[in-house]
Parts: sequence; C-alpha cells; structure tokens
Amino acid sequence: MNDPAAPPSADEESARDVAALVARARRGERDAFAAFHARFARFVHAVLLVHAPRDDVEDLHQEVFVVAWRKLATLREDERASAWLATIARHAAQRRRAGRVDHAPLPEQLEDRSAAPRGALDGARLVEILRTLPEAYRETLALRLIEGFDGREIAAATGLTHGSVRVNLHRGMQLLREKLREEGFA
Amino acid sequence: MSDEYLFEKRGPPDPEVERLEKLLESQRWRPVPPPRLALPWPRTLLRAAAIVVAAGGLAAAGLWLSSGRGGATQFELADASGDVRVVEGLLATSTPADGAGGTLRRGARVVCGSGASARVRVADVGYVTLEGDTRVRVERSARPDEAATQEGAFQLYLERGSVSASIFAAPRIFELGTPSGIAVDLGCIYRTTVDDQGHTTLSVVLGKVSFEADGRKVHVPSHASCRALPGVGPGTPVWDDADATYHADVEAIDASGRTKGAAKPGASTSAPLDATTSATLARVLAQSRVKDSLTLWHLLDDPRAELRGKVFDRLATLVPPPDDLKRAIFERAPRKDRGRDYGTTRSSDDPVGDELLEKWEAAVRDEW
Repeated sequence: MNDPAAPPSADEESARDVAALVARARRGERDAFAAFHARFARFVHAVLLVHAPRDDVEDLHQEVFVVAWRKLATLREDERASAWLATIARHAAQRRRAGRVDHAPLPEQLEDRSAAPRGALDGARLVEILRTLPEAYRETLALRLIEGFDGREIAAATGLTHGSVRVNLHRGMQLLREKLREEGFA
Repeated sequence: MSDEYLFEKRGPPDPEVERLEKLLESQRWRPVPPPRLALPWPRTLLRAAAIVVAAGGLAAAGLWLSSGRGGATQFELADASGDVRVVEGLLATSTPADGAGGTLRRGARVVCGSGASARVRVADVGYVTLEGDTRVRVERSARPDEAATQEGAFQLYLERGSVSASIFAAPRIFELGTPSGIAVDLGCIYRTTVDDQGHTTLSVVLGKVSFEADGRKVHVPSHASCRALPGVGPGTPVWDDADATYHADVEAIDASGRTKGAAKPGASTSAPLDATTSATLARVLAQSRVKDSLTLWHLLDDPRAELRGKVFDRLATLVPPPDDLKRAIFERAPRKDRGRDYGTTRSSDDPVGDELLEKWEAAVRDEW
C-alpha cells in the first residue's frame, strides 16, 4: 500500500512532470509542446522503427506529433501521454503499411536469394530482424538497443512495471539471438 | 549474458548487447525541430465552440442555401495590403480585399497587384504569403467541417508570381501546383516563383519538398533549389551555396537532355553527348563537393546513358557504392524513383536487388 506521507518516487515525479507538460501544451504554450516533443521524440521513433516501413519513419514521426497536437484536448490521462503517443504511432504505421502497394515490375530473371551471400550484418538489417519479434519485445528492445533507454526509462515510457520490462528485455534478447543464429549472423 | 547491463546500462557490458548497440547507432533518432502548428483550443473552449457551432449550424445552412453558393473551403484571406482582389464566381466578380477578407471559395483567385501582398491561411496548418504581381487559385480543399488528413487535402495553384509557403502538417496534406509541376509539401517553408512563361523556381528554406510532374519526383531539401519548365517538369536540384556557374551548368545539362515532350521518365538513349554538354558536364563533375551528391544523384535519372556513366564514376568517388553496384547498371537504365516522397529507388529493368540501391542512397543522403 502506498504511504501518503512518503516522498514521491522518481516514476511518480516523472509522471507528474509529463502531466504538467501536457496541461501547459493543451493551453497552447508552444514551449511546452516543444518540450513535449523533445521528451517523447526518441520514444515515438523507436515505436515507428519497429512497425512502419523504414523510409516512412521520418514522415510518420512528424505526423504522429501533428495528430497529437490536434488531439491533445482529448487525452484523458495526461500522465499516460507516452502510451497514447505509442497508440497513435502504431495506428499511423498500420495505415501506411495498408496503403502501400508497390507495382514494380518483376525482372525477367529472378535472383536466387537463397544462394546469394548474406553480407555483413548492419543496422538496417538488424532492425528488419527486430521487426519479426513479438510486439512487446520488439518495442522494448528498440528502446533499449537503438534509442539507449535504460530499463527504468522504458518502464516510465511504456507504463510497464520494472519487472515486466526486465522480462521483455531478457526474453526479447533470447529471441533475437535465435533469429540472428537462424539468419547466419550469430 | 548480463541482464544487469541489459536493464540498468551499468556494470560490465555484455559484449553481445554492446555489439548490437553499436550496429544500431545509425538507426537512432536524429533530433529535428518539432512541428509548429496552430494553437489547439482548450477543452472548455471546445465544448463552448461545439455548442455555438451546433446552434449556428441551421442558420448557416439556411444562409448557404439561400445564397445559392457552395464550395466553401478552409482557405482564408488572413491579411491583405495594397491592391489585393478576390476574383470568384461564374461572372468572375472581383472584390477588393480590405485588410482581411474571410473564407475563400473553391476556384477563387487571389490577385495581388504591383507592390501588394497578401497572406492566405491554410486551415490550421500554415500560411501562404503572396508577393506583388502574383495570382493564386484555390484548387481543392477539405470542406470546413471535414478533417483534413488525406493526401492533397489542400491545393493551391500558382498561376504566376511568387509565394512563400509555411506549412507545418503531416506530409502531402498541402500541395502547390504550378505550370511546371506540383510542389508537394513534406512539412516545411519554401518559396516558389512562376514567371510569365510558366518557368518555376522552387527554393526550400526549411524542411523538404517533393517536386513532381509526369512520374518524375525530385527531392529538394532545405537550402537547395530546383528549376522546372512546363511540359518538361522539375530539373536537377542544386544547393543554394553552390556558385552561379555551377547552377548555370546544371541548368544547361537539364535543358539539353530534358526537352519538351521528349523522353518519358525511365527512358534511356545511347546517343553520344554533344561537345558542349560534355564540356559542361566535365565542369560540374570536377566542381562537385561531397554534398553535391544531391545534384549527382538526381542526374543519374537523366535519359542519356553516357552522361549517367560519367556521373556514376564521379559520385562513386565521393560516396562509394556497395561493391556489386556497377557503372553498367546505370548505363543500361536510369535510376528511377519508386518511393512515396523520396527514398527507395530501383533500376528499371536490372536484376540487381533493390537493397543495393537503397543502401547506396542511404549513404548518399547522409551527405545532404
């Protein structure tokens, strides 16, 4: 049970900061929105990276904050702004994937990729492999490995408990290692 | 594996986690300024506004029907200074704009006389400022009661003169048509000028614009410009800090290869370059800096095979391509845009995988 006399935890303080920021942005304070953007830009980027087509991430990142700005008045739990942003980002990515149809003609002779050398593992390929993991793991791992969040920051941003983040990171890494082995990158 | 390092980012690093972190550094968020948008209404005001709108809805509908006029848009003449007129309707009624004129209807023109200026508000996403001797037409708009989230929701057409657009919205919401191509906003500030012959010059101040016509898309980043001609479409983008000779030479190369009604995008010719174009191209290639890979990258979709080969050689020295991406691929066919705004490209009929091209493009774009 929470002790009302106890000093607020770092997580509670962080949630209050976010709520205050959202309230100021909602009143139309541009500085507050800039701070809101700075605070969540990396988080939104990580979510988009593992959900959206790679070359659309930059555009969608802008779109997510445009939508957030317009719909700020509808956000009910200010301290949960990051979870709300993640939902906007996932929907935006889903819409973009659904609307994307490539009509590139097939070459006359298709390359036999099974026989082709894989080449070295690079960041772009690694992101592709991350995308194949279950959602909970891929977002957690993207926040940790790409954007450099630590476990506590991930918990604060996603609303998960520290324990859940620890489990997601551990299992996610196990799965990622297996995928890398399957792909011949271990 | 040390879960301590994985969770806490403290203690002895796990070598595998550290390796993955290093590999993924290139994918990290690179800070850019936040989008700037119109102020949202506070929640209490929204409720009040909803009541007012609901109460006024019937009256407005009645007025609209009785006037027999439709085509209301989310464009609004916000400011006007000097000889500014709004021309609209079947009889092309011309109304002087005193200061600010209110909502513009679809098909309406805003005409600025010599020395005049006007500012057109585009819903809540930004402004277009008209300079003197400028004529702009409202081409398309989401209705006032409609959410404007689809591509091309707002379209203006610049018939002649100069405008500056400051738009901070999702990409492709706003488009500016010109006689030479369509400037598709990707979230930015840019200036566009159309002269009496319909020649268009686009200069991007902040953000980026996709300049498009007849299937050709040219990605113009901030601090770069692009010229376009009617029937020919956008030319090759050049950085604003390149010297005047470089600008002129690139324009001359474009003019010699992209003539009106000539090659379709993706078409290729093996005819040799004439002596003048060869000399001009040699100057451009010699003067190109690493950042001028912007210009060289776009020259790779020129219809002339010999030109593409020479451009490839120079670009490869500035930004080395993946090993398997050879000159012959570009001699056979031009680079072709496939992506929505810019980005993914492919060779038109070559079995080399798209991945190699995309990889090279990513490296080239890192220099812009």
